Amino acid sequence: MDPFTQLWTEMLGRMSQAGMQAQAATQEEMGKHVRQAFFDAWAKSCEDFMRSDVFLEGMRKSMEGALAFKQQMDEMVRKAMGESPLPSRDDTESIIMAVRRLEERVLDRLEELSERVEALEDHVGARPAGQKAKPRSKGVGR
Amino acid sequence: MSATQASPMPFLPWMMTPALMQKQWEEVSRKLAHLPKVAETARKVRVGVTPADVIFRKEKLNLLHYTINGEVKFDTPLIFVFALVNRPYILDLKPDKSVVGHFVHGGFDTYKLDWGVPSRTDRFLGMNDYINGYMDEVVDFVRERTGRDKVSILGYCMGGSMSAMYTALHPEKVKNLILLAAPVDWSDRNNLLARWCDSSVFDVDALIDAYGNAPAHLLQGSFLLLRPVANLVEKYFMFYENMENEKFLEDFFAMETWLNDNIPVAGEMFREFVKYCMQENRLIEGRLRIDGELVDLKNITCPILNLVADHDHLVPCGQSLPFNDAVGSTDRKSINFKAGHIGLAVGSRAQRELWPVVCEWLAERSKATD
Repeated sequence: MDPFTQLWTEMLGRMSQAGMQAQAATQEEMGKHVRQAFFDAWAKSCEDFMRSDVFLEGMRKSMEGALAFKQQMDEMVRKAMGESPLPSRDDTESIIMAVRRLEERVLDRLEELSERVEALEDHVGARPAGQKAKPRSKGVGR
Repeated sequence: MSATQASPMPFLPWMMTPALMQKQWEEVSRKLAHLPKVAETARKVRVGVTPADVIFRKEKLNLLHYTINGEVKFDTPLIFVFALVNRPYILDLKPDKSVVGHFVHGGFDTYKLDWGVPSRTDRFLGMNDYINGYMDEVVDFVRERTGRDKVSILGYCMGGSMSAMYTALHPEKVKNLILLAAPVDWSDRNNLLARWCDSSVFDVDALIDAYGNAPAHLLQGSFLLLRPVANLVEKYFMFYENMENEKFLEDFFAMETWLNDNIPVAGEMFREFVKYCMQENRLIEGRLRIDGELVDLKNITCPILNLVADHDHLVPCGQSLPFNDAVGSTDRKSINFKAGHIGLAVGSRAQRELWPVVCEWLAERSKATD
């Protein structure tokens, strides 16, 4: 039996079993019991199915397809934007990357300078013993 | 027989009797007549109820400081750190469902970190930016503002994992650490979310390369699909049955507001978290490096309170509890509470039974103000 048929067979089996087992004094209560049993059976079957290799493989393939489609669309837009005089998303992102690299270089340079100043202060005894400079936050962009 | 009386069982239990049909018709009519009231309750819903001021801003990030009614009783400030996947007001949803409120009214100087909504330009922000950058700046800001050397941190879900990483990297700045349904160990692959995130199924690189940030709709869809019957069917049956109950409607719409208020996650952060933590389980195995520095959980020596939910379908207890054995702390405790992932924060029983205990635990470990 293929997994999908098996899923439905098992779910219907669970539901009918649950309905048979329900006991209640009134028809409303009985209805609620049966409904809850139905939902529980349905939820269990859904979870079993979503754990199955068939589902996982389907999920992987559908995501691959959706991402490939998105990339194709993006590529088309990119080409169209490349022909136009307007700045594209790629242009913006390359500016952001340049700013981040610059920020990293400035922060690294500052760190070097602050270490050198500390060393100089230690050398000339300008800093009271035991007092350490506040460590610099590593900061966003690093 | 009166239609309002309980209908006795007919020969076949599922058989519709005239009395039952009449009763159901009356119920439908009554509920239809109540619809304007339902719409009004939905319109009036307010979330994030405890008064707060934004006292620090950095790009999209806001730090909220809660206005305390009365005096501050404890000198160690408390910072709430929420996950990046949803809005943090779940911790302060309604006056009777506010985790934040317990601490504010308990006399703690309380802050909450709101990460904000990342835009496409934030796609390059990774773990280092969030943990050594934003979090560290917020902690330093609070330490400087209050004149205290250390802060207490309460991290929820992914925010808890990030708080654990932060504490391991900056142990000298954290006095107490409370984790709320925070995953740290992904070795058990039996959880449905763990299966979906397995590297053989989910190519996180391809997703982030294509989208930039992890899209909100994908996250929302995945969370809904984890429990499709409960989230897409049962919930609405319950709504129908309780739509004349004002209190139920208020809670329902407040929760729905939060559940549907999804935000994207910064691309690099999502990629690193999924790949290094969820797929390769580097955090608990002591192999995670942030900015080249090893995140060694043994560096954590402060008091630890690890709160886990028995029925958590997102972060099962097995993903949180190993944290207590991995840290270097001697003062460590875990509480296993009978609730779900969100119920742990907003459930009525958690408000009555869990949060007063947590406040007490923190009060014992926070020095009283002189």
